[in-house]
Formats: sequence, structure tokens, C-alpha cells
Amino acid sequence: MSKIEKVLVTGKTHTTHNSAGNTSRGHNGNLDIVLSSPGSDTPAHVLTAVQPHPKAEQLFAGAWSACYIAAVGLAAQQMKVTLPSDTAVDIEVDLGQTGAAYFLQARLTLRVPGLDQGVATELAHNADAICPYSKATRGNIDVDINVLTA
Amino acid sequence: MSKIEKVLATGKTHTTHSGVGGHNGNLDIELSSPGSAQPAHVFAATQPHPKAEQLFAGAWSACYTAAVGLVAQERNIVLPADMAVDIEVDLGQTGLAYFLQARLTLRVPGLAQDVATELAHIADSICPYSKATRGNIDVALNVITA
Repeated sequence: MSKIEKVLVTGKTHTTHNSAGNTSRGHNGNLDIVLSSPGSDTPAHVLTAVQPHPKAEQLFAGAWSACYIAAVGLAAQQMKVTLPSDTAVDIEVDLGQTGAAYFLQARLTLRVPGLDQGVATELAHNADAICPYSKATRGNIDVDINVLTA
Repeated sequence: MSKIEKVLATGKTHTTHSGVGGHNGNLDIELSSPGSAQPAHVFAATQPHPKAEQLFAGAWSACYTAAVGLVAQERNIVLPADMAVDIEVDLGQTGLAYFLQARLTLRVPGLAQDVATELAHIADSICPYSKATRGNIDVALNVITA
């Protein structure tokens, strides 16, 4: 795994459960994408990109976050933790350069207002362990996991 | 790396240089390139509510298309105007665990097969999405020149 020396692009997304039916709720999103889950055509998550013409990194962040938020739900079920209704996942993916070579790195932020910090941290790491996007990139790119409970 | 026993969802995308619209896309997204706000690629997803796998395929294909362009430039290869990249990403299960796998298809009509194959593999070696998943997921690379 190579460290990125220079960040060229960052794709940021904010993903929530689609509890408001089919309504896109992006606060400042120029591109709100309603995502469906495997085995279902019912919209399950809303991803908000911040540009009308997103960068590839935003799409990747959107895919990862949709999967990660589902993994958080699964991990919460296993741990018998009740998730707050305003649970959200923010992911930033950087495209960067080291010498002439291009690499990715990512920051995942799980927002679970009101949960105990220790429980939330365990939840975030358990979800990362089962999320197939986290597994697909494990050891190949730098990933920071942050947990916000305030 | 675990083999997927059962595929649960597949995200398919078709990515071209900007100016060519998706042929059957319910969700056409124009992507811009690093350092530019100008649309550079168009990726067509096949559903109005795409799966996560479609977004990932879209990201990978935009990057891979750019990598193919870079390699072609270095080697003085003129790419056909109808060059395209199709990517399919599967979400699957092995036992209770979830995994991804992918198929990349580079379409370069009119190029010699061996030139196209070399182009596809070198692009795969420099594309940061290919590097990010290397060794962790199964990736099949196909080249179509007909």
C-alpha cells in the first residue's frame, strides 16, 4: 500500500436511510440518487453527491456508503443495538498521486447521535469487517473510520 | 480472497467518452474528471434506482476509461471513437459472508487483438480502482475488438 503524497480529487457523499419514502432529501445535493437494495427494487438509501457532474470518487463513495450503512444495520441487529433514526454515513474518497502513480484513500464517518461512544465504535468496526466494499479494499488503500455520537 | 458461491445483485454500466448517451439507461450520469468540472465521461446505469454495485462499476469504469486513454497516448495508439468500457460488479455470498467480484470489458473495435489486450492489462495495472481491489476480489478482464 502506497501513501498518497498529493490529493487530486475528493468525492464526498452523505447517505441516509430512505425513511421518507421516495423523496430525495439531499440538503445541498445537486445529484440525489435513490438506491435500491439487493433482492428488492424498493428504494432503501439516499445518496447525496455535491455536484451535478460527480467525479468517479463520489460514485465509489456512494456505493461504499450504501453498503456500509446496510452493514451497520446488520451489525446493530447482531449486537442488539437500536440505531437512532438519524443514523447517517459520510464517506470521502480521495484520488491522489504518489510520484506518477495514482491511488485512492478514504475516510468513513458513522453518525449515530445518542449512542454510547464505546458501543458506536464497536458497531463501526464490526460493520467495516463485514461490508464487502471494505473487504474489497482492505490492505490496498488507507481507510480512516470515525464515529460521531454527539 | 473468497470465491462467491451465490450472486445476489449485479451492477452493470456502460461508459463512453462524453457526447455519447447511454443506449438504454434510466440513469445517465455525466462524470467530470479530476481538475475539471467539464463532463468527461457518460455512464449509463440500467435502473432508475441503481444498486450500490452500479455506482461502484460506474466509478471504476470512468477511471478505467481514463487509464486506457493514458496508456494509448503513451504508446501512440489511436483509440476508435466508439471505444467503450462495460463493467459488471456482482455482490455475492459465500456462507454468511458477503463479497464482490467484477468483470471488465474493453471495447475497442478495429484494434489488433494483441495490442488491445496489452492496452487493457496495462490500463488495469495503473487504474487506482483496480489497484484498490487487487488480490481482494475476483476480476475478469475481457477485450473485444470485433
